[in-house]
Amino acid sequence: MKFCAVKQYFDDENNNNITSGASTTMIPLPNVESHPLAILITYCKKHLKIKANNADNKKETEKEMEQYEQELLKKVMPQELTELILAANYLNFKEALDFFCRAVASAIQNKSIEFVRKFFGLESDFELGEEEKLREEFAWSFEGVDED
Amino acid sequence: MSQMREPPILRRRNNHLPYDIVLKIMERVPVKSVMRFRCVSKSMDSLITSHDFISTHLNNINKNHDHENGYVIHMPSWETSDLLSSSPHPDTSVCTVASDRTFDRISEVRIPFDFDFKCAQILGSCNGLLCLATLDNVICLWNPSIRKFKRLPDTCLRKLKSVRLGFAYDSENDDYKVVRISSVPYFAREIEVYTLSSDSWRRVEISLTNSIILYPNELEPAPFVRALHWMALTIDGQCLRRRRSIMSFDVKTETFRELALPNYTGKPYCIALFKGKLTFTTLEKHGRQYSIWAMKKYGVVESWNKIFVVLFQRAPYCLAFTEYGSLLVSYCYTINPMNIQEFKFVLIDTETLHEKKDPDIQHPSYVATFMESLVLLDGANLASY
Repeated sequence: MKFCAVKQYFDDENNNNITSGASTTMIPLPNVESHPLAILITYCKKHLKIKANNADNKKETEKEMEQYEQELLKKVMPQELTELILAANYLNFKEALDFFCRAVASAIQNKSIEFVRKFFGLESDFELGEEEKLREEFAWSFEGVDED
Repeated sequence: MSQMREPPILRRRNNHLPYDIVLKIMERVPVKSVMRFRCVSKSMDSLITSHDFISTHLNNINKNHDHENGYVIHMPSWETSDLLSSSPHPDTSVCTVASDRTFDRISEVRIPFDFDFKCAQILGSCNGLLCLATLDNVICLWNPSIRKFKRLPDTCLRKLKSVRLGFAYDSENDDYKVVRISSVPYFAREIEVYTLSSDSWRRVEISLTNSIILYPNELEPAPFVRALHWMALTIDGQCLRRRRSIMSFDVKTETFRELALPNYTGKPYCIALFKGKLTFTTLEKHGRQYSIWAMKKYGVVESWNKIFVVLFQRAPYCLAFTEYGSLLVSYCYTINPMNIQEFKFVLIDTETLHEKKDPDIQHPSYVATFMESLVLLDGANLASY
């Protein structure tokens, strides 16, 4: 089920016996901006279309979906990824959330510690000397890190 | 009550991702980078080294596993370097990571611990954790991706006769186990099991009768369906009849079970995990023909099915069955008059019978599957390098 938050809204309405104008009901999504929402809707439609086209062939579906996702990533700015994740999370859209998390994981894998801290808004809470000790122990993992 | 609700304007002041999302992202970051991100903060370090994170991270790797690209790791076996060989002596302290399709070399890793390489072997590989053992009971667990290893504590049993060893993953308890069994019949049979979670050995009550001999496995003893397998010979004391079968040791229940073999012709050769099934291979035509049987449905004797027959020009020595479906074999040529041994290797795709000559391997080696993971990161008494 995609967009579970929206489905929840309809379920709630049904429970309250709303019968009027279901097709014109406005659903408030205060925490989602229109741009990421548009991308998510397109992603969802594409996913459903690919699934329908390749009815029984799961492998084909995965392959086509992967190709579409690669194309999509080329058009999305890195800064937008955060917005997309927040939107997918709010809408409870599991597949999109998983995909965008993977995309971010891939984008940050060669980044420096400082970059990651800034990106996630995290601060170092190490005691004096602890961080240096760790850095020394895993010096090998610092090879090949991108310049900031 | 039907009512148009005005959407309140809500702008996020702070666009930073909530912690559970940060977690979701970290669970998808490759191993080397995750190890580096331990330095982001103390809380991140505790998170990454927690058992739950390690398991979830592993599940993600397995879920997104690219079935087109698997890896193997191989370590030269020492025995052959005692012989005069046309290739230079192998450095048995160096393992090679290669593609499981082509055996093309990807990288080399040096074994970081002190080992008697003359009698060492790769005992098994589970979820990126390797188990190496020597004949004199030194056993090490090693994860090359996180550069950590540990030497197992001394066993609780006295030196066992004719030891059979096995390494497997108990998925139900999310634990790794090493099993030591003495396989000589008519002597007191002893079994002990090491679990990573307890970091100790424990004796196990034997359910194996004394008339059964377990053969050492030619290849990595196939851990499959949470059990270790060995070819076995049962000698019926009464009528001195000999019966061959497969003995499986369930790592969770720690009990043995006998699996009957199919109605085969030829000489039994080895058992192996092949394309997700337990297989049994026999030799015919003086070792030149391999007949490979697969147990289509594990545990169901009627489901044994001969899946491939491969005929070689000369009798080869089988080094590995890859999960993908290839056989790695070696031929040994003796070059007179110096009696120099020369090894040639061939990788055969059992489906197409297509041969890849000269894959990137120069010495008879122990071969195991390989993947990257964080397994062992939360283990006790670890050494880093």
